[in-house]
Amino acid sequence: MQCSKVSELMSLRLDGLLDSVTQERLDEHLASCQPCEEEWRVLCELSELFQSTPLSVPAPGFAARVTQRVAEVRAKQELRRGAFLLSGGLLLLLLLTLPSLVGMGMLIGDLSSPTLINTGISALTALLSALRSVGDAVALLLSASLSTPAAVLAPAYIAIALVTMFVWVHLMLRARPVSVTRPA
Amino acid sequence: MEEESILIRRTLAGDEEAFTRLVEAYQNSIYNLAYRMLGDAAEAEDAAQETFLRIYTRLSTYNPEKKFSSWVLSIASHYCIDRLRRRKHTPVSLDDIVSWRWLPSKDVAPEEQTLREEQKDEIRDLLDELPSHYRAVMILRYWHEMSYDEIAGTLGATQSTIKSRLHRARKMMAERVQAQRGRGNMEYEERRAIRNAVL
Repeated sequence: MQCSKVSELMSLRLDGLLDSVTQERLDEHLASCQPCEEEWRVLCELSELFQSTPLSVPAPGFAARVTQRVAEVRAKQELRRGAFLLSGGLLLLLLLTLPSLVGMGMLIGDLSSPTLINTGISALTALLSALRSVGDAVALLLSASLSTPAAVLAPAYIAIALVTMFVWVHLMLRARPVSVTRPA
Repeated sequence: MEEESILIRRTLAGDEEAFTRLVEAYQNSIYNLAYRMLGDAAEAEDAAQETFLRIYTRLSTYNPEKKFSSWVLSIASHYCIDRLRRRKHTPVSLDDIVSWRWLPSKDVAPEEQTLREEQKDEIRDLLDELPSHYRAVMILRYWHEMSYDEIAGTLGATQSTIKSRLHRARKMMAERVQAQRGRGNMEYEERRAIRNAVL
């Protein structure tokens, strides 16, 4: 039996994974090889030392400190979630008011008095026209992708807006306040 | 723990009290692993906290068909191995290590044994000399009494790899102890020769 192989067998023996035949052969080698016998003795001592050393435990109050840290992380997550919901809400508001703005733009577009106020209105009209163009483009895209007539698209748009609003309100109601207290 | 699955479900539902109970159940295991891996109490505290944070945020990915303790220790082991990888390695010379002089040896004089009182944590010195993967295997084998198969599952390695790492880790430690003893015996012989010459 080679010494290099014996070293591996000694490790297995410490874990109780050697069969009786191999164990006997190992014992025979250890009885005749002084360096291996010395190594085996040290390995046994090390194993005993590891087995007799108890678990190290954390300082008292560890669970409370972890809970505190979790609360801090959750607070940050809630903050990010709040920012996401707020931006979603603003987008929803824009979605809901877009048709009205486009309608107003069309109405104001008819006025053509050359007064100072009407100049401002004209500028606003131009802006609204641009918005109307965007709305038209979105409507065209939707109608093209869904292959549905405009009469169906309008109720669908309202339905989507309402569902989105419902989801948003639901998320807002689910959001729980998080209290974070610093450890003393 | 019989109610472990209930605590996990309650934690996932947002029950903080349930998570605190999970922390209490595993704090010693995780802290011990972190302490034995990192060799420093403050670092171990931070690593153990970070491990629990990861457990909390990844709890929804836990597969209930596997042992929760293995999953938890897997997160802790990998985190500590990563942390050791990032840590600047500072080699320790044999001159700085006196831990193994206390080990009983037929050739070691009683004077040498008195050094035992000066040792703070012999295990820490031994583990510090091992590569991080070997260290993790030794810790899981001895303190968590895991089988080769369980260690392999926890560390994401094969059983033969674990067998090899355990063997190499033990051999490295044994060689170190033998070298230390040899050095201690030589010093003792030198001191005895000087004393005899003076007398």
